[in-house]
Amino acid sequence: MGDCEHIREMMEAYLDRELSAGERSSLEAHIAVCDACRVVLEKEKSLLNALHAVATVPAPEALRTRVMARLRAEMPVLRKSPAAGFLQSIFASRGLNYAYTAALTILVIFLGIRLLHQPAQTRRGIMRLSDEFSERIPQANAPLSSLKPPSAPVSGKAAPFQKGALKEIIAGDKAEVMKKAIPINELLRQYGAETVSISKELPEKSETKYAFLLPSKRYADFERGIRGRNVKILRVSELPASAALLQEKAAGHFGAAYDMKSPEAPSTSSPVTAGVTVAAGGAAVNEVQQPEKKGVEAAPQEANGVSFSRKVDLAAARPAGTDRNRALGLKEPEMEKLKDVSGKPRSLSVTPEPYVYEGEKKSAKAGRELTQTLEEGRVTATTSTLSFGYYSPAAKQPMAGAGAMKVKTSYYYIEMLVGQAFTYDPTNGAITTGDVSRSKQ
Amino acid sequence: MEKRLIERCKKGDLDAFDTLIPLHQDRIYNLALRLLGNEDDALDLAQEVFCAAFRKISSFRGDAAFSSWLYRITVNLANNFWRKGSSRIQAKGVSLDKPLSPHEKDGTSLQIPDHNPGPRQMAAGHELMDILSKNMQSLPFEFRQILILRFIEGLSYEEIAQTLECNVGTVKSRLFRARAELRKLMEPYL
Repeated sequence: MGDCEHIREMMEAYLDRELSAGERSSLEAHIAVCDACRVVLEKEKSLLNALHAVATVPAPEALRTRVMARLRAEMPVLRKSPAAGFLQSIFASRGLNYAYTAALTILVIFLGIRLLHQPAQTRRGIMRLSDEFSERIPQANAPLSSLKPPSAPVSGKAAPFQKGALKEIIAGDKAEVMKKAIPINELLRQYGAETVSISKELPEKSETKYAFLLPSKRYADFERGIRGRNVKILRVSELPASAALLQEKAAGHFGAAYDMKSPEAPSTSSPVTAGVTVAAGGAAVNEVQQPEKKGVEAAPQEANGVSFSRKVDLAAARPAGTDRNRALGLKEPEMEKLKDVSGKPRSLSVTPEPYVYEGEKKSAKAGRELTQTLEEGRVTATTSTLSFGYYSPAAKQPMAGAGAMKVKTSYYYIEMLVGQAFTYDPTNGAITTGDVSRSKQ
Repeated sequence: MEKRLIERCKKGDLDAFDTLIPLHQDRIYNLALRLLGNEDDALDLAQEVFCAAFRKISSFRGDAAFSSWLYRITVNLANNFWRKGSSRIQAKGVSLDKPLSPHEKDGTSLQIPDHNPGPRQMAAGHELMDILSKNMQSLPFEFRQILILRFIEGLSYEEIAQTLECNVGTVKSRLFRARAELRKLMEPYL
């Protein structure tokens, strides 16, 4: 038996072809006479064969597209201008930022000279181009997560801007004009934005302010989509939100959670238990009256560009799902059990919408959890987790494969000014104002 | 040719990188797919890998193969990904953040498909490879990682040690334990 044990220890190395010739022949000699060890070796072999045979699939086409889109969005200046590309190759060794600055300087001089020799119409186009460059300089080469809102307005008023600064002449063939003329709403929808507010109460009547949430993953696409359009991004803040929270918001759960529109927190005066609601930059959009100003204890906190302003009673805001589950006779997973499943202690969490699926032999549980990180008694981050695991009540432990899924979709909160378009019709040389999409149809 | 492309990338040439990606995308994507177990995560991870690679390409000295360097980035990022618990691995096919149904109020409950059928069902309906893939996913991440690198990607102990930034002894002992775990899981099907 001792022999068998020794042989089995050598089997892996044997199959990996890492035995010396002597060891190999002694193993082979043993296998020839020992049925038990031969069976073990055969099993090992078939396991290895299966491992080797795992099929490969081609990478999806989206991979390359996405990578390039993101990298290009990170360095828009370099991509756009051949002059900058040239400069960049000169300055590469000194770091990209230097190249950006230098490129911009030269470009501005270059454009300035050109400007003096251009007819008025083109001049505007060039102005616009150079505006765009100067705006992008601080953002270039920075990872999205470090994007700071450009002079974020916090007082509730829009950032000052020059009257008519966004007027743009769209020239070119009809197809080009039409491409640019996708109504902004449609464009936003296309990129999965959730429009929060549209305001026309701006000094320049021809401009409209949009505030919306955009899945951060789509930001690069979106940024490309609006390139060349007469829009100006005022503010981009990272929002540690999640798809789940937004769903909750859409379903009216959590009371005022992520409710950026309504200034009245429905349950500000109710007892505070576990919940803290975030009004993400809401103050800036709608001149929300912050409840704190009326004497509610917590002061608004800024974290990642999100201000935490209101407290609501999450327990009271529990959705009907719990009752429904109860009515259906479905069991509600207890907090402790969910902790068992995930195996992770949480500082503060609620499961507002638990589901239990009782299978034939095992049960699957899923619950939505809202987790808040507390620092010195203040909420500094809010994330939503969807726990999803197989829990064996008998074994009191997660079954194979149990795990927790975190919804990692984060959103950017974006404020954007959309200017009125001026259309240039090359057939008769006329310039018309107004919504391009309508005037052209 | 690859060397020249890398040099151009170091100068910030995105077009060169665009040419470089297809040379490696399949291997990186497949590695990501095996490590994380589902296509969505794999795509996310592979995307991160290539973006990270371009951003820090100047730190690639060319001592090792470019593919090994990408491997290391993949494994490191997968580690983070896994630690952060961002994987959707167990939620394949189930979107919990979608509304249950447009008629949620009618009381229908969420049906969660059971991805772990009993052994008998599995043996009857699936090939050994499917079973293996499933069982691999239920192994601890570190074990799965090392098994993939060794047996699927065919890396030597030395290469694994480099990729995981540990010593060969650790590779050997971890591999031994990983194999034992996998064997235990696969025993009924072999």
